[in-house]
Amino acid sequence: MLHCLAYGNADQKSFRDPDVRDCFEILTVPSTIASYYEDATAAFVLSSQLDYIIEPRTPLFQEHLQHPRKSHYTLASFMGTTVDSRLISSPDSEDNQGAYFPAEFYSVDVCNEVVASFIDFQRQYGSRADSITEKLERYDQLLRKAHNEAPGTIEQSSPDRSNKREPKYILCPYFAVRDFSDRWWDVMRRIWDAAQKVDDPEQISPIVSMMDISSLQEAIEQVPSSLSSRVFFWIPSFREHKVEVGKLQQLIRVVCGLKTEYDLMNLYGGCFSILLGKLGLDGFNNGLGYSESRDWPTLDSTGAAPARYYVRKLHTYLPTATATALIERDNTFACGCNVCNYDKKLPSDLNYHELKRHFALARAWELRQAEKRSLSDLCSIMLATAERVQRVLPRLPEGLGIPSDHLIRWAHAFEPWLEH
Amino acid sequence: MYKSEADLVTEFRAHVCELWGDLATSRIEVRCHGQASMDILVTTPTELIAVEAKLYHSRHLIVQAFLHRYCVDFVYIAVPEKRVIEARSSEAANFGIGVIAVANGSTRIIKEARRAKPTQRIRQRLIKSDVHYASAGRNI
Repeated sequence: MLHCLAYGNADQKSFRDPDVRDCFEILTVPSTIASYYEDATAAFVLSSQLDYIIEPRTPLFQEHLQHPRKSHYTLASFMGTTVDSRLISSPDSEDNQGAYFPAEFYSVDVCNEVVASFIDFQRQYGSRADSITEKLERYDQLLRKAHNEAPGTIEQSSPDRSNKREPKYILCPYFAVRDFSDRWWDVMRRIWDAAQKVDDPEQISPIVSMMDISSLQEAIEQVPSSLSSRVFFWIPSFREHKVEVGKLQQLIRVVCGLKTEYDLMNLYGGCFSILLGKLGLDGFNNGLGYSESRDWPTLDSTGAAPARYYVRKLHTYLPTATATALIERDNTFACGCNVCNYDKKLPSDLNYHELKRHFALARAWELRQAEKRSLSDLCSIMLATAERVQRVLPRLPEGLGIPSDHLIRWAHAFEPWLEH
Repeated sequence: MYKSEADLVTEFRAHVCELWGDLATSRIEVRCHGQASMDILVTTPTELIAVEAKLYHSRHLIVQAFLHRYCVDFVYIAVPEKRVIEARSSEAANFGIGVIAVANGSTRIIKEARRAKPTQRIRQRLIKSDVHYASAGRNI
């Protein structure tokens, strides 16, 4: 299963870490970062030797962008002159008005421009290497230094790769869609029409967003067949840990229904997506310690991830102190990764980068578990873990917020697909 | 009765030396673990004491205070004397949290806290930040 891990600006150190690099297949670069820290990000990404994709983040320019940041302006400059001009000419953010991009704004011509500009931005990304040779060398040295500090690391085992390489997949611009009656669905049709007009459309991966999960399969099936069959999807505000069993099962049906014709990738997912891999999901994306879901319309208001601890058996994050309390009460929740010093270090002992590294290792552990166990076994383990949490809770102050319901919901959601 | 939490905190801080000796100092809203802050951090020559001060003796107060046990040596909750709930005080005590009743002129510990086992990394960071705070001349 392909694991895409999103890169945040504060994460460079973590992404040089050999342990972290070993835990995913594709580095996801948010286009806001790629456009704002233009040379530094290119130098970091291109010297990393990692496969990468550039996440378009085009929903930023959908309806109201109330408080445009500098990175929004730089991204707009790669979205074509019409989007760029509209943002620049919009009222100052201090007026609390910001910019407004209604569906009508995205005419056929504007869609053509946005798609052509942003696809070109991705396809030319590798060629930036020529103009940033000094920076590339510096980042390369930092990477080598990080690897020398940890002997026997992946750099020695991976072949040399060109700094000029293109993204692994070229992603098509996209917008959030509520359902088929939404005017943004019409915009998406225009976007895909535009994508068919650029060179090598079969290399362009569409991103299908649909808030109404019952329409997701049909939406994906309506993507023009001339585009890539590697399709990313985003269900806005779909939180794997919170949604009810019925919605989880709707998503399972989508994956089962499309797995033979498409290579489906969940743009925002976590451990439930890993489990979906057992039924045909080809890959998923999240951040290093954040972004397992994304709301709509709050895409412009995200910030740095809080420092928190991923309890791998619970498949969820907890505040470090809460996780420490849980592990002190029941040591079976302790983590056996090398960051946690094979269960000797408590979550509250870990610093920011250790928490990030621990998350990467925990995610890799989840992927390994999913690979070697049957779905039935995984569901049984989740139910047993939920029971274990229930036994610990009376020994902790009421209201501490240690969740286990999601484990029960996930197990129940998969029940009809288990091989009895 | 106190009109706001800030009034309660001010009253409480006026009694810090009575409770923990003349060398005790205090500061407010101190970042401790994750994104959490403690209402008051009291520093004595040998110990760090966290105090969560609230106008109501709610159960959530116990949760907040409980998590501070990974940062400091002792943890207390402080509530107005007239709003102390005995059952909640006992619950707090079960988790090693002490209880302080705050009243005009008669602030007192009604349940002693048990010594916690703080994470040394966080404790040291709090001590260090306290030194910086003191050297900036803003202590007490």
